[in-house]
Amino acid sequence: MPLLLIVLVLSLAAALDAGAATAGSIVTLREALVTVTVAGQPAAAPTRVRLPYRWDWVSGQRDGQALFQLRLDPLMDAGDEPRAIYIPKIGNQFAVRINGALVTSPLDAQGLHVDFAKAPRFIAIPKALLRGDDLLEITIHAQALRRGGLSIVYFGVESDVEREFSAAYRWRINGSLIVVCISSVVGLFALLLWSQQRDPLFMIFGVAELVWAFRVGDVLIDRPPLGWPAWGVAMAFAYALYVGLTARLTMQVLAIERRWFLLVWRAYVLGAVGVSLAAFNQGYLILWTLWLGLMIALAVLCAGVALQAAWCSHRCEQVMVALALWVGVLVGIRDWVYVWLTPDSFGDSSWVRYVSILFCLTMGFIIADRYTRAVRELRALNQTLAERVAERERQLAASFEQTREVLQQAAALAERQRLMRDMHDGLGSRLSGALNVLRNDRRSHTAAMEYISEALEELKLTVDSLQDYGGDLGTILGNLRYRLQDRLRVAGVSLLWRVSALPPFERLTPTCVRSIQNLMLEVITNAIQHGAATEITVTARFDAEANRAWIEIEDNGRGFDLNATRSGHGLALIKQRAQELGGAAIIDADPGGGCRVRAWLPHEIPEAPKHPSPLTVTDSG
Amino acid sequence: MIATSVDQAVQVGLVEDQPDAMRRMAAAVRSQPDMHAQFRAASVAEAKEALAQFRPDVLLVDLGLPDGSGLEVIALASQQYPACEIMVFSMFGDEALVLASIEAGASGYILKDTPGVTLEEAIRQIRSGGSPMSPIIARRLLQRLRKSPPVGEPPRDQAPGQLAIAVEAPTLTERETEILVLISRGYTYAEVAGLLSVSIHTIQTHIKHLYGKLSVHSRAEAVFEASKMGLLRGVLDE
Repeated sequence: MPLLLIVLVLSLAAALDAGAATAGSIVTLREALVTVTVAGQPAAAPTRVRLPYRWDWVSGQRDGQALFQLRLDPLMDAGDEPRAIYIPKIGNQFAVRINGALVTSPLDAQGLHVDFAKAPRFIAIPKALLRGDDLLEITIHAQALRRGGLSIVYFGVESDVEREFSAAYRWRINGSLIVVCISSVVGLFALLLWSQQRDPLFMIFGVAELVWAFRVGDVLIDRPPLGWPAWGVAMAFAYALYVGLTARLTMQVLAIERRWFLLVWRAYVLGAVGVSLAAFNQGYLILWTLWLGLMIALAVLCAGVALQAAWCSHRCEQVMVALALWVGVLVGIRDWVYVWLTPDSFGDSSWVRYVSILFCLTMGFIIADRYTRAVRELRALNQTLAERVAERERQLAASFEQTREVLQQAAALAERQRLMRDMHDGLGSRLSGALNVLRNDRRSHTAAMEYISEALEELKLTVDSLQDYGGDLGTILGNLRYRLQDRLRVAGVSLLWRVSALPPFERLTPTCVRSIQNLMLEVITNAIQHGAATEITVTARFDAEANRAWIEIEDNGRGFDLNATRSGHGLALIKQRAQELGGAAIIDADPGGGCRVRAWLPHEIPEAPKHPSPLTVTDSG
Repeated sequence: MIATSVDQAVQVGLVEDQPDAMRRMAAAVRSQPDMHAQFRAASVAEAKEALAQFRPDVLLVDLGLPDGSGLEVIALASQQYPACEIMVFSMFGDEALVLASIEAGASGYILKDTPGVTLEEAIRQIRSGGSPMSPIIARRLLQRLRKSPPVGEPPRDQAPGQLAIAVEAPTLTERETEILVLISRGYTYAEVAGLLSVSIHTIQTHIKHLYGKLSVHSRAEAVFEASKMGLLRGVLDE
């Protein structure tokens, strides 16, 4: 479908181009009497020819000159308006005479170096020279294969002719200038990119564009820096090189890297050198004509490969390259057939120079697209990097937190062990020693012994509170009993122990353990010292419904009056202990009927229970 | 190091660095006609020297020695004389060290300052199989021995039995668990015996057996750790 469109546009443009010179009060001169003098031969007899006249096709590829004589129409309708002629193509050097008077610079002054055949010519005709039936004489000097000759000549009112001329000039010269500028700038930009990124794509493109600027720039200069045919060889090679570089560029964009392609490409470049030399230096023009055909074949091949690749990949840049190539191929075919092979087209310009703009746009798109993608990837990469850094930070923080916890635990453990060791080795051993001394002298020190025993017991309980119970309330109670068993035995109290299975408590800190110990001791000490109990029952159970543990201590002692102030302080202490644990204590007592303390603590002990008051074992007011 | 020798009596080795404590211990042993203080050592080095020379029936070891830990002495004695009763002197609250001692091969512990219980009584009690066990120690035993054995099934490509025998770790029987749970809750041996309808002697036997299990368990764990590190590969493959 796009191909069809391109063909349509091309045919329309060709039609417009052909009909351009036929508007207004302009006469088209297509016939002339020509006298040809080929170098080294005598002048031939004048013959009537139809314009355009291509020197290369007539002269057998030799230098020479030709004199064209044309009759100018009097142009009756145009009245007094000044007259002018416009010649699309004339050269390589030329002189124009009206009725024998020279209206351009003389041929001898021009020299053979210049080439005027590249630009359209506008020649105003002084009114004084015109008589009504006028003879236009055009002399050309032409060099072999330099595309010299004479195109159709337009004669008419100056303003109309100038308009035609201007249109042709814009199309051929200004258009070429634009192409040269764009190609130069883009080519240099591409080389700059290559120097920074070292991507061969940009180098190939940059060189191709500069070569093309060089080739198209030829149109803009009448005096080439080299003489003919050297300049002709250079131009032909530049053209062939541009096509070759474009093919190479296509392969690069399609990311096709084949060894054979590189070999073919090298052979092509060498061939182009050879053919350019053979055609323009040695005169085998047919070789160049064939080479143009070969270039078109090469372009078709590349365009086919590009189309297939684009079809498979659906990648935008490949689609665009394929499209540009196909346009280039069609334009190339058009130029080859119309400009190079068709006799009547002499003086019409080629289109292929403008195709390079399409390639520039395509490359511009590719660069922009790649840049955009690179930026996007960079952003994604930055994002990923940021995420990874954040993740690593989290891990570090977690690891730090863990380390801190472990260190804290280790420090707490070390502290605990130190505390225990100090108590053993210091206070513990001294108390033990004192006790032993007293034991050996029972007569005077019974009371002291008792106090020291109690102090030791107290110390033991403090150390016990620091043990790791793992939240096991049963073991806390059990250990308390273990510590108290000798004291109870000495006091002659029998203990009824009923501790059932209890679930683990999560927040049983050493502080909580001390509160439990203090509560139990308070009650038991009261029972022994004030109640003179002989039997104490300790029950511990878990109330799953209320989610709390109950500790009940019942004795068979004397009991007391709950309202009596004497027992108030001890009872308040018991209640306080239970409150420290986030629970409560209920005390029942009857004078003569023993005492019963029921304390509960919640399964989930509050985070920071009230700080317990100092341990009091015997103080029970 | 002071050493004496009398036939037909229970040979007791004493390892203690505090002179006072050593004096009391020696006096307690001397007061018993059927006991004889075979040697006294005040450091790990002295104890090792003595163990190379003598063969005590009972070894009393204090853990805090000037040149090292009594655990070293216990491990050496239990290796050389499996029949020797090794007892650890312990302060209250030192359950972790008591457990470590039992793991090293001790068969019981004596609290240094138990009021009303003399040292000689404690020795006799342990000799007759009545090692004490505090609720905290019972709880630790439950924790240690309830764990699944370190090595389950041996790998299939290995000859069955080899690895399993080498590192088989003892676990608790149902009855042992019951006993330990009750002791950890503060019940006395007599109460446990009553609750389980067995004699107190049976409970004492269980306790002694449990101490032995802990020692084996810790050795099995050591073997397991070693085998994990590949240290025993050569031994196990043989």
